[in-house]
Amino acid sequence: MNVILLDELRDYEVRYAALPMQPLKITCELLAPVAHYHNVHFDGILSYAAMEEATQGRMVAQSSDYYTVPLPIKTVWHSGLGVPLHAVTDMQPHSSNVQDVIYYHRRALEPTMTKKTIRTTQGRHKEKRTPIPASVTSALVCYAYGNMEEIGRLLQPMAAVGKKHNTLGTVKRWLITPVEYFSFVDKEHHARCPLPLAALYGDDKMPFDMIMECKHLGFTSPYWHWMSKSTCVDTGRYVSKEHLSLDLVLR
Amino acid sequence: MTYIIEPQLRHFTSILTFTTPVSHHDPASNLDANVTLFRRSKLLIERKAVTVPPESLINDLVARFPVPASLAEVLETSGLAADDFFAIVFVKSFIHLFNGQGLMDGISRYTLLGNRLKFAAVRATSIYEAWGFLCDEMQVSVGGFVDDALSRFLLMPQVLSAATLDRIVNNAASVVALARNWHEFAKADEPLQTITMPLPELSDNKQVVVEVPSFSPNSVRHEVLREPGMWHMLNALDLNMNDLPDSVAALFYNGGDLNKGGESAIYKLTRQIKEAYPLLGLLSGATDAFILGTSNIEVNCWLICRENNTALANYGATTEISIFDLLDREEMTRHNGGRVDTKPMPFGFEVLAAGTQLLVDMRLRPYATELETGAVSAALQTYVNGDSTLGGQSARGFGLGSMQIVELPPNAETALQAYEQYLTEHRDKLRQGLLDGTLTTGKRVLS
Repeated sequence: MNVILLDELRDYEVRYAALPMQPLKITCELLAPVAHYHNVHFDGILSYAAMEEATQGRMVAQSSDYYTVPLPIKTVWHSGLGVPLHAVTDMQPHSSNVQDVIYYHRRALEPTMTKKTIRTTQGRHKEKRTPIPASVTSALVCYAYGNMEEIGRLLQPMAAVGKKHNTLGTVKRWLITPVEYFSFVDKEHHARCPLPLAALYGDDKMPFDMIMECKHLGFTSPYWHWMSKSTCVDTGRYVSKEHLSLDLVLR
Repeated sequence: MTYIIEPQLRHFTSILTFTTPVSHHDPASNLDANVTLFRRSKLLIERKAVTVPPESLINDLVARFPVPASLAEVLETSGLAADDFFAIVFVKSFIHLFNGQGLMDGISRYTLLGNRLKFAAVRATSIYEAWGFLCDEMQVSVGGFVDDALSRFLLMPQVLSAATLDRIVNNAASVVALARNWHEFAKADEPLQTITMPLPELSDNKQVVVEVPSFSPNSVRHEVLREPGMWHMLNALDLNMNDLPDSVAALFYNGGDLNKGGESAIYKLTRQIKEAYPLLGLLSGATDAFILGTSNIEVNCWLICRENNTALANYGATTEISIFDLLDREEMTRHNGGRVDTKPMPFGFEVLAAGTQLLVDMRLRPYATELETGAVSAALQTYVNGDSTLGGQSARGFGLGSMQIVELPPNAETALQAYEQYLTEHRDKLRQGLLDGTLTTGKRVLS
């Protein structure tokens, strides 16, 4: 398996390497609930925007290869397979957050419309109601260490976030504010995004008790790809301060 | 310094004004009420309040409602605050006052009270208002009452009202259960005693979660875009649904469904299909073996009501009308079909009144083509000139609407012409692709 950088993205890589970067707070103000099974990943949104722009909307063929997408965000670590960990946290609700379930209704073809009688209770034309978990909140917030102008430029066409974004997760506007520092952990030293143990402690110093607490998770975009996955401290879990080899705070 | 980015996409924005009542129910609704409710979604709403009342006023109000002895100790040690207590007082007073009318006869009536209590509290901005709404909802005769404590209670300060309503909305079932206990203990002539409750945390800005009637954007996507878009295309190609194989009909009608896997060269096929049929480029779908990728349009909609003002402000469409003022009920009777109908079955459901407006916003992704833009224009035109209904029970006359276009992309008109010209010029090829399930790729992708 390979890490592939598309020709269309080579120019991005060169440009981004020269950009000045700083700690940023990114707020996504919302007009509709956001559907998601896991946290919304900001690097995923930026990767989509960059890939869509670079390929003029054509995107790429499905493949088991790993397509890497240069981002205007600092890369702090590479896995043994060459997959980058970016200095960016998951998006979390800004204040009040209420969980809701939204039902998607797949309409059955009405039998009168076709020559054959269609069974709507079973089989491929079954009428379906799919529950989708959703967060009702006024804004999502994340932190990153990156270039404000380029992140803002990439976000211009991003008018919806989360799953089922063709009808949910409508964005009112994005706010990018410089902050004093970027941190992968909160004040209680809990992870703000999935963090690979290998990045935190190096391959040979992983604390045994942490390994037992960890999960096999995606840590970078695309999060579903097997090469993006590693043994990680999940979002919200305590990150042990002993033997740390990664700078969790960037100023 | 904050850098503000407002998403820049091409919009098709319209306002649909319903000329007949709208029926739109949630398939997952499991409320045990005797009417089917309009579809509801959770929404965060800010309740504005003015000043925080003095502690003495709250303590005095609590003292005016002595509690049966067996409940007093439980309440005092429960950790509940005065706003929780007032929520229970509200329901207890209602039960006490109207039980004489035979209102609360049996457990189902309490379930009904719980549901309607919540909706009354959601609609109201004060306890005073909520009492009126609950009387309406429970269809009780208002009558008069001489009760100084209750009068003072109903006229409690705004900020305390907001906190109490918040407790009712969030704990309706528990509030009803405790109020019922209180009522039962009082009926058993238990001695009453005055209690004190901890003061609630009051702020002058209260955010509450309410379930408000809403319209499903996915339903709008189907009824305003996918289905009229399909009818337009089939008319242009001189086809009807019965001519198509089931799976082709399903792809255009509801997006289709995967039936098997393992197809190769998907990327090329996907590109070919989406370019040949701009409607599929726009809305996507699934062939037998692969999905056509993300759609090139995002749809959302908001009922025009004050509860949605945060979103509506973006479109300059704010209003002072509450969605709960637009809620109405329809009662119908299902007949058994016999010559003499001995067992007619009445049923009821909530609707939104004629005159209700829905703001529909459709946003094209940056790389949506001119033909895809034209496909949106064609779908909208077909919808407006076609059945123009939204929601359920259109056969009974519900959900007829009149659509007013507010914003279009600058090239909407020329894109429509280009799309129609494309369909005309490629008519035979596109027809054949639909009839043989190849979608012009030369390979059968739909069986």
